[in-house]
Amino acid sequence: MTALLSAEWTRLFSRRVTVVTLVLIGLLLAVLTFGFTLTRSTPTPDEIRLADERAASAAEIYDRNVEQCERVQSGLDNPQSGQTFPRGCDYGPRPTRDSMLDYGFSFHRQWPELYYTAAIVLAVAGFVLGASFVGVEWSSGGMLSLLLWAPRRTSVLGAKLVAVCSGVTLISIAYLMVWTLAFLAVAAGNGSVSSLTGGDVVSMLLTGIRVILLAVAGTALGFAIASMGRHTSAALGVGIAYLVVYELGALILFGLIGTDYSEKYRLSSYVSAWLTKSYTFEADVAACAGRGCVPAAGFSGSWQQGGLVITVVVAVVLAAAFAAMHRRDAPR
Amino acid sequence: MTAALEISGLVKTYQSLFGKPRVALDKLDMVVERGEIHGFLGPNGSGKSTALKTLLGLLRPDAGHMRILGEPVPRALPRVAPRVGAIVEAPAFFGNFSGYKTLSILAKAGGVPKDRIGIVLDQVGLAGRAEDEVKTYSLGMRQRLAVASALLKDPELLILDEPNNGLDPAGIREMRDLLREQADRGMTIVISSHILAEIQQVCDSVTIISRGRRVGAGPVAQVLAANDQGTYRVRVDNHREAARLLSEAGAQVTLGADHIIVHDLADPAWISRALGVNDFWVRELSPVAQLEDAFLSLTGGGPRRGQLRPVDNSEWPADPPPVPQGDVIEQGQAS
Repeated sequence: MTALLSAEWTRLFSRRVTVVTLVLIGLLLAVLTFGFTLTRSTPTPDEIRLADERAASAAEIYDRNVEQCERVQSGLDNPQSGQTFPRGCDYGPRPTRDSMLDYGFSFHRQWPELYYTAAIVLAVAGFVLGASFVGVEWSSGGMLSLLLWAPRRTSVLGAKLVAVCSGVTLISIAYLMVWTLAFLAVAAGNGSVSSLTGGDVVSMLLTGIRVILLAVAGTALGFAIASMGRHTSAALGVGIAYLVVYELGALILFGLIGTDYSEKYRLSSYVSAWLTKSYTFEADVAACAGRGCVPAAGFSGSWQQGGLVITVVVAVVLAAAFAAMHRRDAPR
Repeated sequence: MTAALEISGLVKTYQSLFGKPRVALDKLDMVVERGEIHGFLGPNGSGKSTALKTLLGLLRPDAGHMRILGEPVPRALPRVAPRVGAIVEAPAFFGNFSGYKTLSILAKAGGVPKDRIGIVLDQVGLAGRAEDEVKTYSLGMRQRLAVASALLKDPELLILDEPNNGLDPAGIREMRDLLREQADRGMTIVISSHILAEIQQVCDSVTIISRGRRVGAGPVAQVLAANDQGTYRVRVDNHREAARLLSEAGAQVTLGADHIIVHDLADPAWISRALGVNDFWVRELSPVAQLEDAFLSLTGGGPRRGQLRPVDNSEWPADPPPVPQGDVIEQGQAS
């Protein structure tokens, strides 16, 4: 197994598709970082003053809304007709100067979005790398040649899976480190680094781990589907079909027939819960009562629930791929 | 000493979701003794590649017994694989890897010492192009690389599917010499090929299959003798006149540049008598036995005017005799 793994590692990092993927990811990083450097400037004192004024005004409205909502919800006030309130009077984060400085890049404020972007890029890259790593072996006949050397099919597939997943883990770690350092450098230019706290750093680390695990899950999923379909395009086809036909098409259908909580049937909801640590599923129709209109009985998905659903999906597809490898013939 | 390869009663049926199941191997038997070069012959679609793939664990058999180097397969395949080198069907390599890198990855996967790579590249004549990308190789060079990959393990049993594919005449001769050299060192070699003249030159024994069954087997000379078509080469002075005489006497004659070929003759002594009484003195009278004739006779695959026969469609042969047993797989119990 160790010899096989070593050979697969060499194969992974010698393959053109791996090199091309690394270059594409690097280019994306460079373009985004360069874009922020060029288009974002350090805020002037006037801009900061203006942002303070806007933040104060917005915060006043925010506080008023929250207070009114809480009074209606606690029964102290009566709602106006058809007035809608968010569940738990959650109007989102309170406006601050930082949130009003939208013309100035703020690492402190924007790092979660940067990490979520990285998560999508790495998960898609992992899916393609995983699918290609095994798919091209099947379609070209390379798998057949390899099985002549190593007849234990499960070991062969396992070694390939471990090689590509560990490879994607390394790529993701390196990518996130460079990505973070590049944006920290941009942020250092406009002085927004100093506002980072120890808690932010811990949060960034934990989010980074979830991003890497998501990339590995994407890799395993692409690998398993391509292995069952014995072609890279099998995984790409299934992936695109899922996104277009199910995530978009089926949800439009759910909406038309009035299915509540249809988002809970989407993998993307659980991916979102995994990355952002929570996801609230709400019914389309708000329930209006004496305490105003509030979205009908919603429920939240935690990052643990998101992780569990992703793990189960990946485990089931991988189990099917290993079963197919074990049982089916291996013709060209 | 046990045989290098034994197959008995091997059955393989390809199942289809919508079409009819197709029997690819129907109680196939085959024995290859150690140290010999064995030719494995059959028309297109007769089951050669299926047999080799099943033997090497790529396809799952439905029934039958197989042994490689005395070990029952597919059960003992992980144990026996390091002693077997094989290429099955067209070799597949990544175009942007060099020949050396291709072999080094295989060597790493199989735990083969690195110094073997240089040795086999030298053996197949690719040492000078080892660092070039495979996509720059010709078909013949890729074939050499495939043979090199099979030789990498320095195997006891070498199985080659169409090893001369794409090779030029010089390459074919080099391959023949290489295989003979390996056989002289004690390696057992099984060659599946359609180049029958080459098989006749290089092989000690052959197995001929048709419709998934063995229809002929044994030492090459024995197979040729058993399928002698009664064709003789005759050398004589004034061979044109002699050919006319034989033809008038009722023989089927083909005129060569300096000889006569006489066909469908039961007794060659008839030629000596027929020519002798007319004062023609025979300088050479020898049987013309070609493996191609034996092959076509056994597989019922002779050419038919106006017809192309792309796949094996010969008649079903009789049940073959049993051969020694290996790994036992009952019908419908493929592992």
